[in-house]
Formats: sequence, structure tokens, C-alpha cells
Amino acid sequence: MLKSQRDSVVSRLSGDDRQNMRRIIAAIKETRGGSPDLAAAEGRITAREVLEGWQEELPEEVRSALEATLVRDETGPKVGELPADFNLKRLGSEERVRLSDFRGIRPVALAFGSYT
Amino acid sequence: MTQIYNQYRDRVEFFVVYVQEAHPTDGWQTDSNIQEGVLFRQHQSYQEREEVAQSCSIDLHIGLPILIEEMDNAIDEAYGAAPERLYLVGADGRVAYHGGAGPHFFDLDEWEAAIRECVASLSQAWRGLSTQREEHRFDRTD
Repeated sequence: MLKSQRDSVVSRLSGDDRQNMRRIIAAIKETRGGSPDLAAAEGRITAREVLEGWQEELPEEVRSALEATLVRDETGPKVGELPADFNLKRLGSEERVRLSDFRGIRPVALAFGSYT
Repeated sequence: MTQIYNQYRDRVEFFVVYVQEAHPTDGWQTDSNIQEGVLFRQHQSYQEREEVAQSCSIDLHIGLPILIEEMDNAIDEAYGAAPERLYLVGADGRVAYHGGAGPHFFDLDEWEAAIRECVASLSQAWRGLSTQREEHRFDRTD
């Protein structure tokens, strides 16, 4: 799922619904950890199991926003998989960096993000 | 993050990959960005993306090398990267840590633990290799 698709569902939530959603997400993180792959690897309860076992009645909007959040969360190469290669320019230089050039040489730690 | 970088940079390659804005002024704006004056529209060109990344790097004192995602956002899409996300790719080229989607599931401690474990297992592999070499040398002298 694209970020824009997730955003369009979550940004429509009212203040109360957003509070509700944050509470459930905190419970998910508490139970299964940050990575979506940790629960399976360590036999913990998955995000979807937390959601299925949730006792309170949830408004449809909150359910959809949670669903979109989990689908986005599951996106991307999982532990053990070969990630998509990239060849990107380094800021402030003409140097380009190819991920696969490090294969067999060194681990690579990646932090994706933006200013806003 | 800088602390983790400084601790492991001699054994692990680190990159920040700058992707599309999470909360641009022409998109889903947040109160905290308005209060802090972090106001940027979604990048209209690669050059604009580079300029905003440059401002971010200076204002937030990012010491890590920064790579700039292309305007097709293909890497963002493949990695489910925006708004923020952490990965560790092992020396074998396979994913060793697949962080959760930010901001809710973003977890620096988990990332660090994965890096620590990866570095430890590499050191162990090296030790194993040098022990084998030692034994081999003894075999030859005997």
C-alpha cells in the first residue's frame, strides 16, 4: 500500500477516533514489538491477532484506518528476503551508492525518512 | 541515531534515505510542524528534494550519509519507507531487520539490537575463520 492511500484513510479520522486508534496501536506495539516480523519469529501475538481479540466495539472508520496502517506496516522486504536494489545519489556529492555493492562485504543499516 | 551510527560505523555501512515529505504543506499538515515552522511543500523536482534534504541535514545535525530517493518514489514504494522506517541488510545481502512502519512502529532500540547481533555474529564468523587458519598452520608444521 502507498503512503498516500494510508494517509487518505487515517487523516479523515476525528480527534476521538484518532485517540482510539493510537491506543490500539500502542497495544499492538506492546505485544508484538515494532517490527511486523518479530511476532512470527519469536512466537508473539501478531498485530492482527491483537485486533481480532479487541473487546470493544470499534467504529468502522477506526477499523479501516487500522487495517490501512497494518497493510502499510507489512509492506517491504521481510527478514531473509533479498531487498530491491537501488542506486541513489549521495547528498552533497556526485557519488552514487548501490546497495548490492555491499553484498558479501558489509551489513547496511538504512533509515528512511523526511524532514516533515 | 547518531549515537548508534558512531558506535557501529566502522563495521556497518549507514545511510539515511531521504524520501517524499511525510507532512507537506500541500498535503496532510500537522500541528507540530506548524508550531516548529517545519513547512515544506511536496517536492516538485529532484533539485527541490535535494534542497529540503540539505536543510533537514543541517537543522537536525544529521551526521549519517544521506541518499536522495528518485522522484518516481520507487524505493519508497518497494520498502514501504515513508514516513519513516528502519532496515538492516546483512552482509549476505538479505534483510536482517524489517522495522515497522513509522511513526507508530518506529523503534530505534530494536534496530540497534539487530545491528549489535549482526556485528557479533560477524565477529564470531571471523574468529571461526582465523581459528581454522591457525589449525591449518599447525597441520602444516606437524
